[in-house]
Amino acid sequence: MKIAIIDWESFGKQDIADALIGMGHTITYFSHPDYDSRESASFCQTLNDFLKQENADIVYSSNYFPLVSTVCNTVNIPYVSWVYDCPHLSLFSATILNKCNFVFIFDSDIFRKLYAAGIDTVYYLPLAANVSRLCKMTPTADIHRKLDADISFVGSLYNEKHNLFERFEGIGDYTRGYLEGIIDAQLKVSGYNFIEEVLLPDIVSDLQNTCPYTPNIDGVETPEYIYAKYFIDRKITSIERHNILKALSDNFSTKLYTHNRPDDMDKIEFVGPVDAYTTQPYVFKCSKINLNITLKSIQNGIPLRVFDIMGAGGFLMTNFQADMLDLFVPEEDFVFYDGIDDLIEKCSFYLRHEELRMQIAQNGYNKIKAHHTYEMRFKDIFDIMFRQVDR
Amino acid sequence: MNTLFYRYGSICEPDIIDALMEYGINVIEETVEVNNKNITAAQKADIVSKRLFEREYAFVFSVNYFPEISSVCNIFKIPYISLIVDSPIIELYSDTISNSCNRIFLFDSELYREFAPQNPDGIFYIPLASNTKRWDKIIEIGTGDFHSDISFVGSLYTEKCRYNKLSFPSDRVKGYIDGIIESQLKVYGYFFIEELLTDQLVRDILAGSDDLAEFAECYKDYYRQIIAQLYLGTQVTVRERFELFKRISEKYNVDIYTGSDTGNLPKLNNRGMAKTHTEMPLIFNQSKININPTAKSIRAGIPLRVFDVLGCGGFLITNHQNDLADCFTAGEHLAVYDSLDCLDELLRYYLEHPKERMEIARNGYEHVKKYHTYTIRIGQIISKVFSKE
Repeated sequence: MKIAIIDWESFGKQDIADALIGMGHTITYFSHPDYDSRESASFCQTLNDFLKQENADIVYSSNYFPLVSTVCNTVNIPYVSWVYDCPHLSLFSATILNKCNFVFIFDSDIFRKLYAAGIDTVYYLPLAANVSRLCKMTPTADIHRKLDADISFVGSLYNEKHNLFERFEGIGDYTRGYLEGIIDAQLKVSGYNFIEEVLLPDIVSDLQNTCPYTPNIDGVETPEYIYAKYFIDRKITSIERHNILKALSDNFSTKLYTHNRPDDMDKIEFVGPVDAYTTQPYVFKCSKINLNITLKSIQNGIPLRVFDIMGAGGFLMTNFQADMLDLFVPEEDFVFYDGIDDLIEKCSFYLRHEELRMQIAQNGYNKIKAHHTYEMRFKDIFDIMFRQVDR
Repeated sequence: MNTLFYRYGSICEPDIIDALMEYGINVIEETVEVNNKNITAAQKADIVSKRLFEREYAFVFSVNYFPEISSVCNIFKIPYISLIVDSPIIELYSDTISNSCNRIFLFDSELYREFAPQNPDGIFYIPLASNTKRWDKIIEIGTGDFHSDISFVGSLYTEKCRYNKLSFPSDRVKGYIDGIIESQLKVYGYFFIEELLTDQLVRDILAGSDDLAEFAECYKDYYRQIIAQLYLGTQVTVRERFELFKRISEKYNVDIYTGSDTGNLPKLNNRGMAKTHTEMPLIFNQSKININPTAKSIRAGIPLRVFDVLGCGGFLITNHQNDLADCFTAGEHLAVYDSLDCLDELLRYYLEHPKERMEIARNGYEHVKKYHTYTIRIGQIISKVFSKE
């Protein structure tokens, strides 16, 4: 097949290209600055012309873009998208119902909610890893010297100066207290996110006054959803990651790969950001324990970091995410923690039990290699697509 | 063998007295508090100690726990058996619970976890029970039409809740407290409000709230627990019952027997108070569906209503409580929901399936009759208390 790929700086871009080419497909990239807009005559015209000229069989994008769907629906070409972000607002676009769509979503909760609402263009598909690339990256002595660590965390602390939550500055005292209350409560509870449900009308209207949110022209998302997912969940993740890393670095030798140096964590070894392709796999291979603390807005899904860690053969310690149980066995392929005390106890245990740790990392890697590569995912995607198209 | 039974008017007192008598125990009742609720702690202690001078008692018994009775029994070196049937019980936050005379039986495994460390040899967990024999008789001779599609006997807690008597130092604190209450409403099986009350918050709330200072005077070391359990926890229950009855009364025909004001729930049929010993069993028995939304303040335990609905041969849909599995099997003896959506679904299903409903009610009744009567429970209590001595 000839596959037109919507070009943007997505995660896994090269791995996806490798997989498709490896499977014998031809790929061609389409670039346009308005790919993520809701309205752009120029984008639609250019993509339309491009598809005709290239004679593409299908269009693919990582994440879902409403304008791409609009064009594909007009020219009657299947549009395959694979969503790895959550929240991903464009899923609430009315275009999601377009017949051309095959929208694969990594989080079973979002998938179920959309499907239950009668949207039959969506499918549940966990993310993947490019094992054949990762397994070739053997750390040299020099890399080991730089990256060896007891515990590592790669990811954002959402502590940048102008984060969304800070925009709530002008809210009333009662609303401020209320938000602090629900954040502290949510920090106590894992496995169930209730923030959106507890944003009562009075609170939402105060937030609307201070920091108005206007829905997209074709979107059905509610202000509750936006404030919960984009503002408050991020704030909670920021506090949670901060608390965990503080506690871990007080007890163990811990390396942090992130953009902004956190305050009041004197014992952590702050390294700065890493490149996902060239360096990150080495970090996972050189760390005894690799940590995953999932963004709070992801209800059930397995974040890409999990596949990156396990696919590189790293040992994974993660918070509980329900979808993990669909693919992996706890304590056999990975380990999960429940709360900071439990995390500290388990880190201490697995740092002492090297053989067990290596065995678990090996099991996780074997499972990814056998069942969760990009090639296997695209095989599933195309199977589903052709079954539908034939019908 | 004599026992002094200190009564205050709990609905399970007669059943326990009957059960004690079945074991050949001579029960002498002290009923002063049944008619005089204003009796002081000192008077109570005085009355009990006078009684204990009168003759030999093997033990003193009460439903729920009275610190002053424990103090007296500790001096007399007589075992004091108390059976806790409700939560929260402010009296448990008394230092006297570590007295060696105490044999405190808690109906909630979470309460047990909280209090047992203060007196590991004197605090036990035991579920409640029902007196099927008594209910059988009442149902047999009872008259009156108490048919309902869906019914509930109990309070909306609005009149019991002291939350509005608290005052907060700022809007921000008020917002914080409302935020954690609203969050707690969404979470079952884990009560986190107490953990979120910092020392500073407790001091701030205490400073402005005369009601709290007065109400909890004897329990100064436990202000956090008392604010969390008795004030905020009760408010969670108020909010929870309101939301539940609002939702189901708009969709189904729902009767409530209560002393609470239901003015803000216009679709709910308020049938007034039910007489516990004559009408309640008929309501449980004749309703198509009885519901039990356990108050959040009961963290894991099975409330008395569950045993009594089943003991009256009624069909029950209850919320999930962790201790339920100790006594019952969901789907066999009763139906269990874990969210309002789930309750809604179960109501619709069982209204349409009378045969299944009746079979579950029958199984539930037989099960209670065989395993969960007061006779059995009191036997377990007595053997636990006296096997040690």
